[in-house]
Amino acid sequence: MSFEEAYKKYYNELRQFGRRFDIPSESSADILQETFLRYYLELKKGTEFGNSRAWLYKVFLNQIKNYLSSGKNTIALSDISSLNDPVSGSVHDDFTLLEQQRIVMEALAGLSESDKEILLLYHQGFSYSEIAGISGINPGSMGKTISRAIEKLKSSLKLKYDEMFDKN
Amino acid sequence: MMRCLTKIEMQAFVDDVTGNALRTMINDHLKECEKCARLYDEVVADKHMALDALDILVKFTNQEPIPPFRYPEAKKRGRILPVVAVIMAAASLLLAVLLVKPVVDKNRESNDLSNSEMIMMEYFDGMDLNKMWQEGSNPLIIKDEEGNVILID
Repeated sequence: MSFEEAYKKYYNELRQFGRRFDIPSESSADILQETFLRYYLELKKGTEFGNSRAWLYKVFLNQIKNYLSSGKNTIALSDISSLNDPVSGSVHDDFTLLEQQRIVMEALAGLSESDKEILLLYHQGFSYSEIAGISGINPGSMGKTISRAIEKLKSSLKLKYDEMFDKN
Repeated sequence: MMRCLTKIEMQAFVDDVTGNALRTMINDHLKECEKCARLYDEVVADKHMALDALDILVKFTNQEPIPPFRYPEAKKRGRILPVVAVIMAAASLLLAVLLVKPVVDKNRESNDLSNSEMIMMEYFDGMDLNKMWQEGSNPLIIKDEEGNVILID
C-alpha cells in the first residue's frame, strides 16, 4: 500500500479515534500529522509494514499518551460538541445524541487510561494480539483486561444504560 | 467432562480467540451446562453494550474532508520562502520610499512657494509687485554742477 493510499484510508478513523481522548482537536490533528510523517519517513527508508493500520495506531496512541502526560490537555468533558459534529435530522435528535455522547465520555473518563485505550482499540476491531502489540500489554492477560474494562464501563453506564438504548 | 468456564475464559471464547479444539469442547459444554450458558449470554450482552456505547461516539459524525498531508520536502521549502518574502518586502518598501520621496519634496517646495506668494499678495493688497520692485530698486544718483556722478546709493 502506498503512502497516499494509507493516508486516505486511515486518516478519518484515526482522527475519530483521537477524539475519544481529552485533547483539543487542533493538537490532535497535529499529532496525527506527526504520526503520518513518521510513517512516511519509514516508508522512504524502505521499511515494509505487515500491518500498517496497527503500526499507525501504535504510534498515534504513544504520541497521545505523551501529550496527555505533558499536561497540555485542556479540553473539558462538557465540551462534547467539539468532539463530534452531529448531522442528524432534528435539533432534538442532535441534543439526544450529544447527551448520550457526553454520558459515554464521562463513563470512559472514569476508567484508567490503560483500560480506556484497550476498550477503544477493542471497539476498533483489533484482535487480542494486535491490541497487545499497540498498547504494550501482555497478550496473555488480554482476555482478563478486556473483561475487566467492559465490566467497569458497564458499571459506569449502568444507571443510564436503559434510557440510552431504549429502542421501544 | 469439561469444567465450567471463568468469566475471562468466556470472554476469550466470545471474542473467538480460543483454538478450534477448545471451541468445540466449549460449545458442547454450553449445551449441557446451564450456568455457563447464562454466563455466555451475560458476556455477549456486556460486549454488545460496550460496543454500542462506543458506537455512539462516532454516530452521525460528519465526514470531514481529509486535510492534505504536509510533506517534509514542502516544509523545507516553506521555511525558506518566508525569509525570501521578508527580504523582498523590505526591498520593495525601500524602493518605494526612494521613488516617492523626491516627488513629495518637490510638491512640498511648490506648495511652500505658492503659499508665500499668496501671503505677499494679501499683504500688499493687490498692488503691482513688479512695479514696486522696479521703483524700489532705482539707484539714487547724485551729480555735481557739471553733471559728474559723485554718489550712487
